Amino acid sequence: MFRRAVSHAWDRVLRPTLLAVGVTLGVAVTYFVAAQPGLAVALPSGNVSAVWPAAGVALIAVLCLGRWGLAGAWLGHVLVNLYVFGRQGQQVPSTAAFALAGAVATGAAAEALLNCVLLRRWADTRHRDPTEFLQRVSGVFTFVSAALAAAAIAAGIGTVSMCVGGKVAWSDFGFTWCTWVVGDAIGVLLVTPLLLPRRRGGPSEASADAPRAELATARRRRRAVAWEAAAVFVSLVALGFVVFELPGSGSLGRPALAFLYIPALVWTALRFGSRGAGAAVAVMSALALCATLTGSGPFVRAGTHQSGMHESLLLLQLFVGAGSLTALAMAAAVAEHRDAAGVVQRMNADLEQRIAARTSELESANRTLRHEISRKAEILQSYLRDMADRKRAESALLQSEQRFRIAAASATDLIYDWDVGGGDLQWFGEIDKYLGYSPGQFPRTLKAWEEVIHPDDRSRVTASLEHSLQTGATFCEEYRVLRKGGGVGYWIDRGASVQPDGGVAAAGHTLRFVGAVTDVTARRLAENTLRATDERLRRQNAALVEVTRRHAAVVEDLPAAVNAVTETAARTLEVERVSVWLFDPQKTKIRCIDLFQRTPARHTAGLELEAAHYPAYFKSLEQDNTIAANDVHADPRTREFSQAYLTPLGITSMLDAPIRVGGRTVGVLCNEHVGPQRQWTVDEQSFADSITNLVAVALEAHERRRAEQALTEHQKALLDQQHAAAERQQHAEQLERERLALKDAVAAMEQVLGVVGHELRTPLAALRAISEFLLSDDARATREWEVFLRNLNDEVVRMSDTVDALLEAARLNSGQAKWNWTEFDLGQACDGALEPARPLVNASRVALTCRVEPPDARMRGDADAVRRLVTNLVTNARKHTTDGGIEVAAQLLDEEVEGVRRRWVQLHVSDTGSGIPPEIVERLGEAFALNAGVVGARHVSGTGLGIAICKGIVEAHGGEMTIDSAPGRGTTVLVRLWADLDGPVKGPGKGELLGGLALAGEEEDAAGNPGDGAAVEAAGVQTAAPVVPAVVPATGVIATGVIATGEAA
Amino acid sequence: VSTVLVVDDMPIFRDPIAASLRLAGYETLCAADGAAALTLARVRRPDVVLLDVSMPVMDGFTCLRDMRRDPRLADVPVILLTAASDRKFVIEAGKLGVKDYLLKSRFSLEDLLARVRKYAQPRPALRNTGTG
Repeated sequence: MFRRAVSHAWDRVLRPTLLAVGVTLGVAVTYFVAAQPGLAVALPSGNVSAVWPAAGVALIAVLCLGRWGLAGAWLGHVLVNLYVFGRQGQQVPSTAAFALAGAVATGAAAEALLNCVLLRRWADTRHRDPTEFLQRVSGVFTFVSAALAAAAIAAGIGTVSMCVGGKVAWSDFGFTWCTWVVGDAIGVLLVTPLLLPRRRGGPSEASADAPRAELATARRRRRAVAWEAAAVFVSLVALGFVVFELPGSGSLGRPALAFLYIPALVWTALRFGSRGAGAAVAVMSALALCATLTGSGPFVRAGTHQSGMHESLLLLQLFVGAGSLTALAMAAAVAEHRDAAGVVQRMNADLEQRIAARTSELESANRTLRHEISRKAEILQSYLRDMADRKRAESALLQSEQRFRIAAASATDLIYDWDVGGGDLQWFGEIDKYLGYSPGQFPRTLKAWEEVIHPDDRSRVTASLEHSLQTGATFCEEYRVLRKGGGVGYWIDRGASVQPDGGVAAAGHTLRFVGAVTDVTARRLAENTLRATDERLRRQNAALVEVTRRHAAVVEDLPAAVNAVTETAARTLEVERVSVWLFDPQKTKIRCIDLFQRTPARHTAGLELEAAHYPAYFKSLEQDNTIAANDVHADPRTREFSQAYLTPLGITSMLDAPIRVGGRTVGVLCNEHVGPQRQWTVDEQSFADSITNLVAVALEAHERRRAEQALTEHQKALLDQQHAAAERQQHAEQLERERLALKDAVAAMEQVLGVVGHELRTPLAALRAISEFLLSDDARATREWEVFLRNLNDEVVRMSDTVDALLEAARLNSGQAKWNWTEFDLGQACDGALEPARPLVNASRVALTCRVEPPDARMRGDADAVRRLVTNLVTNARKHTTDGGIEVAAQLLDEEVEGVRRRWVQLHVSDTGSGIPPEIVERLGEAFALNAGVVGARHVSGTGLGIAICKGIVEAHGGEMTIDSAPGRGTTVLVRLWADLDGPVKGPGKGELLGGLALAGEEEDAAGNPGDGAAVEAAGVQTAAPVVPAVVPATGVIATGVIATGEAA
Repeated sequence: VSTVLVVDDMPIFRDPIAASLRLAGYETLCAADGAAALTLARVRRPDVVLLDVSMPVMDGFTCLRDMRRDPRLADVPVILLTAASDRKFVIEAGKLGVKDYLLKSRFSLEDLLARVRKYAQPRPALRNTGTG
């Protein structure tokens, strides 16, 4: 402990401190010594010297030794100053002296520091050795410039300090400063090249392990250099004596001679570099100094001793400076050149080396290529023999087998020697190790050997051995051996019987049996693994192909597709449980959409796992990694399931592959193995990955189908809406039509009601007038009494007829008319129709004729209806006719219609009356048309019911009615009736003929007057007969009205 | 003797009215249309005219208008005999100075006689000397 602490203290504290103190002191001493020559030639005041090599020492100290060098320089300068002060007579240095010494020393230290900083900065020495600047021309000039600049500043500080300290008069400031600058700068220039440490890694150092010849060459070269250096030195000294006229002859010498030194300096610089140049300059300056001090040489100036000396020294220094600069620059140029040459040489060597390496690489590649080509050719041959990859693999196996055979022949792991007679079996080699025994434990007997042979191989091997012993043939078998502690080894065993003399034994006389065993376990196991992998891959491929095919068929059906995948995965990977889980949209849980268990084979689904409970597993899933957990209880990703899930189900290994759709993880395929732990192989993992793609495809198809369904439903809904809208529109249109029809019906009904009012109410008023008249007491006395009574009766009858006509029209219109369909005599019918009209016609000036052809014509139909038809037509004609005649003509005709002979009746009723205006002709057939159209035109009065009823009758007989009429020209009504119909043609539809009249008729019937309706109905057409008389008397009255009145008057 | 002109195209209505008026002591004139009525009225100016509206040849309205234009007939009182549907003629007639009208649908002889009596007095003698 203590030793270590001491050692630690030494290393960390003591040694650096001692080093720093040593360096400081060493530098100080060196500085002091170097200052001595300067002091020797100092100015008379002793404070400033034109020669100051100590400045160079300070620079070197700072440059190479750092801050402690700086401190040493400072200390040295202080000592020098104190020494100077002491020599000047100050026995005990005063405080001021100390301060002055310190200030001047600080100036000197600052000079060294500044010089160093400038050098580092200007000479770009940051990334190189700081001492290398003299090796470059630019560095030399930087060096000189830095020296001058630093010296200028140091001289400034020093001179000011001196002046302040009273050592130098202010009047001498400029001169002192100049001297100081030159002295320091030259000192630096002289000393630095000499003291700069040697460049590291120089060419001479690389020759340590160089060949002997090179060493000899180098030695020879060094010797030559030494000789040359000596020669240079001698010549420099000799020159010094010549130029500076040494020893001090007192003569002033010839300055031009100084130039003789230039070639010498150049020579030195060229041959010996900056250091040599520095040395040469030093020698030269030393000689020059000696000469100058002794008053000879070219630099000596006349004058007062002091000033002359000083001027001489300055001149000398300038010469030295110039020489030094020249030599250093030259040396640097040479060094640069040499460096460049060295670089080129190194590059060249490097290039050559690289070329050589590349060449060897190419050669190697070439060899490999050639080898490869030959191998490829082999493979190609086997490929040509066989067809597919599998064949190639087999070929490779075969090759491997062959190689192995060769190897086995040459390599032997164990050798045995069996004394057949004695039974000993001697093993050479590590038999115990091969069989898993401790050394020497395996019994050296044949029996022991036989027992370690795998039971399946044992009989074969012993039989073969027996055969070999019998026949003397070589024994060669491969068999398995059982290792102690489990495991199987594969041995190839070759042996042969030998005679004691070493020859191979003849059959049957074997005494010894010698053989060699090669342990091929590793190879066999590798082969087995290879075969197993191969088999597994083949199975996986087949499974993938099959499931893909199945999948393609059911990809539209997600559950079926997923079932196919889980079943295939379970079978191929031989795992107990395979399940597919899908994330919910927030990825907070996964839900099992299918779990397939192999025993018993069944599918379930529905389980959910929440991400919050199994963070590690879900994190791993999110990172899209396949989770191959050989030991689920140890694997950090699946450990969380251990207690709740894995242990109860007995799951030991899991292989979970994420399902990705569109670059997103949407679920996971879990393969869970039950039983001994599984080591998931790479191919099993990649199979699991592959099969998840099928799930992804099914999911995508499922999503797509759902989207399509939604779209279809949406479209259907739209169509439904459109249909509904169209239906509503149709419904609305239908309603509008019905509304309009109803409106028409109401209008028609109002019209009918109006007519009814007019036709029934007006006569009622008349009836009331008559009846009131008759009831009056005076009336019975009058002649008119009887007439009015008859009129009363007539009017009642007429009204009754009108009501009948209305009801009949309503019946015809509503299709409720009852027809009495018979075959009848047309002539009789016509006569019957004219009968009621005839007396009245006879009474007028109107001629009524009737003609039927043939006279016995018969037709089928409703006789009463036809009679009514004729009656109505005649009655109408009678209404409009006051003069001329009415002609009725009925003719039975037959005609071919569509290949069938048909009979029909053509009926004319024509008159010579007033005729009907065309606008009214158009509306004939509509009930009450006449009244509605010609209100107030009482001369054509009538309900119009007559024509409407006629039209209904004609239509029931399948005929048609046309009216030809014009005012003043009379009217002809032409009616055609089928004479051979078996029954009425479908009557006119409700509302077609009479508008709302049918409703009125029904209402009337429904209104509680069935008795009257039935009576009228029963009365039928007979009651229609008196229609005509109601009109005719009226005409008569009109005709006679005025006259009658006149009579009355 | 007050004379009443009865104008109606329907004799079955016209005749009992005329007979009743005669019994009541009026002299009556009968016409079946407007034209005949005008002719009669010009021949013998009546004291009252009972005028039907809807008639052939010349309707009651035209007849009335022509009567009003005839200075001799302009101030003859007119009672309109009208069905409900002729109401617009009643209004027109009112403008032509017709004071009274009778609805045929609410016809009553007593009512008629009362209205006629407003404009013309009957001849009482007739009633008294009525024949058997």
